[in-house]
Amino acid sequence: MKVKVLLVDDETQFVETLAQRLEVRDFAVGTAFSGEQALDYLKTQDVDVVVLDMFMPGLSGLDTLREIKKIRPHTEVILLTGHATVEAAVEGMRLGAFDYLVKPTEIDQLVEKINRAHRRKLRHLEEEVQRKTVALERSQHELAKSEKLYKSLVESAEDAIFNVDVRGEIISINRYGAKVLGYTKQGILGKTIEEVFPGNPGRAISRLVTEVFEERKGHRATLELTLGGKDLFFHFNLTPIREGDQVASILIIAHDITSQKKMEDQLFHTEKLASLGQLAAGVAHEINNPLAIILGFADILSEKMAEDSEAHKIIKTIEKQGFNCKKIVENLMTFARAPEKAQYDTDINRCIETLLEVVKGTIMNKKVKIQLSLGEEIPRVRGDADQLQQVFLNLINNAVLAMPQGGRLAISTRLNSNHNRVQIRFADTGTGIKKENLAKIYDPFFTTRKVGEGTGLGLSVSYAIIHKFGGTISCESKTKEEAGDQESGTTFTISLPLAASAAEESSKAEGGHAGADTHH
Amino acid sequence: MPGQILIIDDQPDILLLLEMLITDKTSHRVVSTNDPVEVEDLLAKDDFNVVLTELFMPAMDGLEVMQIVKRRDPDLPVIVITASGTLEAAEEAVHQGAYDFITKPFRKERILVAIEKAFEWQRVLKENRALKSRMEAPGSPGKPS
Repeated sequence: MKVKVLLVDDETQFVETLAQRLEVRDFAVGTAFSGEQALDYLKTQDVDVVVLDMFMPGLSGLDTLREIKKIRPHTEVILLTGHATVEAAVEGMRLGAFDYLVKPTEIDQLVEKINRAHRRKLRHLEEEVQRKTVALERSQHELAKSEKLYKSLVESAEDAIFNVDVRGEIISINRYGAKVLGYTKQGILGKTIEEVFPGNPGRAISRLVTEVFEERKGHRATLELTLGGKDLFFHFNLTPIREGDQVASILIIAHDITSQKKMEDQLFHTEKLASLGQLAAGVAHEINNPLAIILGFADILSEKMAEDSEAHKIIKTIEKQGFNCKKIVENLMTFARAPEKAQYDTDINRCIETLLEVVKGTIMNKKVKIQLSLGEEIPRVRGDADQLQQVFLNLINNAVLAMPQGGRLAISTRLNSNHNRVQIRFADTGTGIKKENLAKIYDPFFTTRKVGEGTGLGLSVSYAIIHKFGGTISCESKTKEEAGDQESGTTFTISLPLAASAAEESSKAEGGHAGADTHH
Repeated sequence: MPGQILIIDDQPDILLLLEMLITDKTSHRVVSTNDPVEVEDLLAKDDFNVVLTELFMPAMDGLEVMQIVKRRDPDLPVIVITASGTLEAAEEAVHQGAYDFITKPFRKERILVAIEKAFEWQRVLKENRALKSRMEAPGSPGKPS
């Protein structure tokens, strides 16, 4: 291929002669008679070497050189100059010119310089190609690496990550996702959302998928799912994967937030009780004053009436209901009391036995059988006996009311396997609690009983007391419909930490035991 | 022996109730006010055997009322009655010298018994003082000369 040369000089004669002589020597020659012309020429075509006169009317040689380097950075430039302007030529070299020649020029000398300039241009181009190749290889390598990284990230994620097409079919899924949905990775591909998420949640996700395809923007939702027999909460994040203007598929990330949700619920509950307590303290004063007036005058009036009169009966009813109000206020105040700091230490078996003695003649229904199985050598627990008895009394009272036709109430205590907590269970064979009510049983004022029969505070107070001593209370229940052939009923399990003294002894005993073992 | 009782509560209905209750069941006389600021004047004008006061009142709280009473007569028993029946409030009142602490709503027996006991306490205290001063008096038979 011929070497392309552009001659730039305002002396037309000189340019044309030189062009002829170079063409003879097998160069492809272009000509321009000013800096401006040269730049126009270079804008449309590339040349290998420009031979540029430094002195031209209009754009000077050096300015033209600057512009050439901007348009064609790889084109080499040889400057032509008269004697007096060598310094200018040197300045030109500094600006990126390859070399300079002093006029009048020797044709052989010019040819040699053009060839040398051409070789340098080729060399620079090769280097450039080399550099770009290396960079390209490197970025390909990086790409492969990051792809691998992403893949392993997705695969090892503890979230279900999957891709769904427009028909709602799963086209890819990570290991965790397949496992949590109860499929193998291969087995789940091609299945629709509604197949793998049965029931309402499936329909909800599928609706979201349709929306994302239509609206072309992401969606988030928290849904309750039943997977593998467990009730779980998942947070779904749906992101459209775009190809051009279209949504090609949807990326869904489902994060299990069950434990977080449970904690939040518990926190919410505790906060609700705490704020209720503050409210109660303020309200107590406002209620007790009018209550004192109502009850006081009712008392005075009742003495002025004949005991068998209708009016006396009415006034006694007012009194009775007034005292009910007083009891509600007292219960509310239980929340308001600051946690006492004294050492709490209770013999739980003794606490239950004395309580049973008391209730035997009162709330106990003859048709309800008590099945007592108290563990032996149960360590003392953290808690105030009176307050714990209040909790147990609530639970026994609830159990008896749940068994109007009679039944069995099993009360048991045992030390847990870690020897650091005592579990107390109250299991009845009553009517059970409906699933939709189960979440609300600790809510203040929630009751399913008739007005006047229950305050809706029993379990809230119990919850507050048990939590005050660092314990937990949980409830499982089956209604007749849910139980089927099995027995319906409700089981409350309370877990209380050991009293400080008992915990110390227990850990000492463990240490001693372990020590004895090592001697064998 | 009939005595005189001073009752302070910002709620006139409570005053009416306590007044009726006490005058119905006892022979004591009752003076009452719903403005605790008047207490100082009332104590200056009259002799009292027992003071009943509410703890939380907007104008002045019951503990302040008690201090005014005690400054005038340390032997005058003060029974604190309150609608905020917290243990802390009771402790504080007794600590500052309250003779008894009653929460609203109350049964009338609780009020009547507290008043009678306060009367008795005041009587014994006065008797004790009298005996003591007689013993310490020069030439008294109790003291060897």
